[in-house]
Amino acid sequence: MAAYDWFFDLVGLRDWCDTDKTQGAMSMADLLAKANGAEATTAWWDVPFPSLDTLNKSCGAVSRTRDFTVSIEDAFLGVKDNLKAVLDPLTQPLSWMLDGALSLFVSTPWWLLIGVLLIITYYASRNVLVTIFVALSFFLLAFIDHYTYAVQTLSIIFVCTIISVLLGVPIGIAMSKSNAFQRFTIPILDMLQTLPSFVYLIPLIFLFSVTESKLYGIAIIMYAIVPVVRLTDLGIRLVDKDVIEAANAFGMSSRQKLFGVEIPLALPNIMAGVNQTIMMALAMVVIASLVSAPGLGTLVLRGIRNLELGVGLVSGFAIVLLAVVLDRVSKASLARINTAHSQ
Amino acid sequence: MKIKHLKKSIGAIALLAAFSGHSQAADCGEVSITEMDWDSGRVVTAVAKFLMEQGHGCTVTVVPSASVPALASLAETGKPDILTEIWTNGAPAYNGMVESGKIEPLTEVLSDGGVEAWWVPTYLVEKHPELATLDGILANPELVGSRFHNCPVGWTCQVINTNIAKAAFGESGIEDFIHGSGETLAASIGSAFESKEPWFGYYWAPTSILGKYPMTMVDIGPSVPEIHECNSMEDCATPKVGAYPKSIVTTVVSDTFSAGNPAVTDMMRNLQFTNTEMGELLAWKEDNNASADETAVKFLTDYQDVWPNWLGDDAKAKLSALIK
Amino acid sequence: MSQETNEQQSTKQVNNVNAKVIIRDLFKIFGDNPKSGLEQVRNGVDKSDLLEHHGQVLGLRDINVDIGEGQITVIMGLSGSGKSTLIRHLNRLIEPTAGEILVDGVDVMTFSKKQLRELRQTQMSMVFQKFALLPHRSVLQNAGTAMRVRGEDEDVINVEAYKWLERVGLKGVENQYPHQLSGGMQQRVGIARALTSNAPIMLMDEAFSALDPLIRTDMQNLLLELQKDLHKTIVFITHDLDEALKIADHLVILKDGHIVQQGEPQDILLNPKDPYIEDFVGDINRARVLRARSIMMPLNGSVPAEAQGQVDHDDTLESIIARSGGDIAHAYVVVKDGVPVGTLDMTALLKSLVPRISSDAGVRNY
Repeated sequence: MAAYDWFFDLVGLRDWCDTDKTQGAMSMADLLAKANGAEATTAWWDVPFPSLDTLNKSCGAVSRTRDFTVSIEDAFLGVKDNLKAVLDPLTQPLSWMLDGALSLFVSTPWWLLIGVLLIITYYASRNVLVTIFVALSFFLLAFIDHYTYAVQTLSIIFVCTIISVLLGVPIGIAMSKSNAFQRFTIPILDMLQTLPSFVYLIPLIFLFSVTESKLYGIAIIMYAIVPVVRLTDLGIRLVDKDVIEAANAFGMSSRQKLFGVEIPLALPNIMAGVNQTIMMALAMVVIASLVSAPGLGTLVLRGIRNLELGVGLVSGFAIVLLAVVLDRVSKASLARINTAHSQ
Repeated sequence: MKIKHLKKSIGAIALLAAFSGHSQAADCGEVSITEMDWDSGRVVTAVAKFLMEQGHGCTVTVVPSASVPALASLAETGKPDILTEIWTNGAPAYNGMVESGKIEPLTEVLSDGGVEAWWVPTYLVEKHPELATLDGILANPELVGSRFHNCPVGWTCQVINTNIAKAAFGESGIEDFIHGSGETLAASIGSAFESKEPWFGYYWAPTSILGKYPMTMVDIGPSVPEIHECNSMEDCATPKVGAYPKSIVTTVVSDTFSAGNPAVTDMMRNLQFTNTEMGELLAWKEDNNASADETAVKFLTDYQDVWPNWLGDDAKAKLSALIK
Repeated sequence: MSQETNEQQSTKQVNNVNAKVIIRDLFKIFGDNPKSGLEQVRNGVDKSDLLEHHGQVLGLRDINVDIGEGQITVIMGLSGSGKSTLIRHLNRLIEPTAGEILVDGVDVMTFSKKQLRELRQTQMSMVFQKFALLPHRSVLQNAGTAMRVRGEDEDVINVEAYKWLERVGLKGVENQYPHQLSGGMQQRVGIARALTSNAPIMLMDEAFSALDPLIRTDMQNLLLELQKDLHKTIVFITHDLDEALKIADHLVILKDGHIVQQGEPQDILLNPKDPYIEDFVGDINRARVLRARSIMMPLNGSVPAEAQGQVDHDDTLESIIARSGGDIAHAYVVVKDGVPVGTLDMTALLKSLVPRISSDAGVRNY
């Protein structure tokens, strides 16, 4: 006797239940009961929750939970081709940018690439100490033969950060202008930061080929974009209301206000968001490698799988070093912007 | 050190209890067993756990694991007690550990051995029969999508496949695509089948993937031990084309466990599945969206001519209610 | 209660000049349902009642003010009187619940967004209590804000900005940033910014309230001095009666969102209509504020011969007391532009120094 037989008999659905006997497989509990020579009886306090699986035992017409999950899968496979037709061309530029950056960074001779990066570092931060630190870090990585991997990771982070900022700042601005849009967006941002990437990445493999770089590009961007969106929204909302009032009083249009007042004054917060976006992108390096991204992540995975502890540790620390480098450079640029505003 | 000392004490107590006339089954104690994260491994562990608990009265702890870390753990710490489904091809340290006596192989749990090979979807071969051989593929690389789906970085098969690819692919323009994880490799097969697209790569049986998606093995020639051995090493100087030998899949226990728990050890020694049996079970599992536990139940109810023979008399008595 | 009749004249006269801005029957209710709140208020519900029983805040009630062209109109009141709300209706930073706001005869409530922006760019400028300068722009750039918003040429802007910065006494700090300046200097930048826009109407929201008393006096003098040349239409908000009396050509006193009394400051001082006003003006230095013209007896007939001398019609009573040396028997002839217009004797002067007794219904409670 299954736990809820009495219910279906009572309500008179017994005939309907018996018409469609999609009986589930026997559970381990039932087998154990059989082994002990008794029917599976349940004490009254052990009555199971009337879940789909439990109800199915009493009434074959009720679907089981796994039928529910399978139907979701079937639904996805059904719309897959349509989704692919829309999403594939939309995201193709991402693949191009990633592939282009990868080949550019890797094929540039090391002295040229490091030189250019140091020039950019100095120009952005105007800080000699930071520039020296960056130089030493790259030399160290190159010295232990991690140069190519580090440069691959760097190019991926570079492209993903740029796209995150280009997409994220406008979304943040839109959020700051509309409370309704903000209410709508915040749960989505929460979900992006907590939903395990593999949950949406594996279905994406069915849409794009797993060999497309946009797969790991999407993985990184969807996680890393969140800080810059949140902080842009916050930064603009925190702009001094008195200054906004003055801007209005002198007849500034929305556009003049946005570019002349709001964005410049929100810039410290936006830059903090960019800094966090870079860090989050680096945090995704290993997961990106699980979906075939090149770079330091592959070394970490190799170390984990082969129990080569040293390989894993060293490449892990290389990722940390890259993170510290990018963090210092972006913070130094941030400090420069702050002194220009002298808030 | 302390652990070994402790285990010796437990072992001694167990032996003592055995000599004092209690039934052996009651003194099974605590047993830890691995659960590998692929389907056949899960089924094996579920069946073994049930038999140990109900037939021998053990308290069983299931440890999710994989071949290489499980071996390392057993060799260094003596735990977990039982390692199921060690695919020895994929664990280079295996032979060394056996020789040094740290681990004791009991039996080939997959009695026909595992099949590791290169595959193309059957629907592809039906359209282009020449793709059933490696030469045929090399002559028509575009028909398989000009890409070989390789194991993830860090798996031994990745090294082997890459070496074979180095020897074979030459000018054909076939890309050696190394996946990031086993999940993406499996997903690429699923995706190809859903869209009836070309696919060419490595996989192994018995698995639910090969049970669910009909694939044809690509003939890459015979299996030669010396070639395979060199291919298994990353710095093989002369990689050559050579098929995978039958993969020996074993159950392994620690020496202390076998000494202290002879009844369970005997049962585990007998515990084997043919590829047909495992294939049927995995196909049934896939069709019914069943869990590993439910698949074990299916096995225990439907394959009555197989498993009772693994048990000693005491265990058989305890499980008599189930044996029809 | 409205002070003037509701004539539909587009050019009204107030204090003998054109009304640049006319506010008519203005109401402002803050809350979820301002329209219903408006109904209540028109039916006589007062501020505390409205809040308690209807959850709406009465901002402004039945406001009728004419702002004279080229004059300084001061709107004053205590906190919560609605003065900051009222000034923000003039450039529609706050939208009224009901009423009309006529600028040069045109109701700004009919303006589109674009027209409103133009109004703010060209017709009105504003100076704020907390300065509200753009912190990321230099003093020079701040001063040129209005012209830049209008899209004028950068060189032209800078010339104008320099000129006005110098005029307010800020020569030499053009390239500094607001945070580097003191409060008083920052407000001078605010004034320069308003002046650079060359708008005829200047709105000043408690512009000097955040400054030290001495600086405040300097700024008031600066304003009066600029006004002598520029004749801007200024609407000035303050809670400081002394300030109001010093600079106002027309004074409007608000309480709880409605006008208690408005008119020429001297007039309000001498003829308070309400106990509230009496209490309000009770503390000020009447000698310094009242002028000869307010107390004098108009001349009928010839000039009295016994006068001790002449005083100007605008002289403060304080200066006349000093002249008389304290002798109550003195009398003076009051002249305006050299022409005798009245007489003033010291007893009348003394009497006017004492306000009427403050009532129990007034503001004070001692």
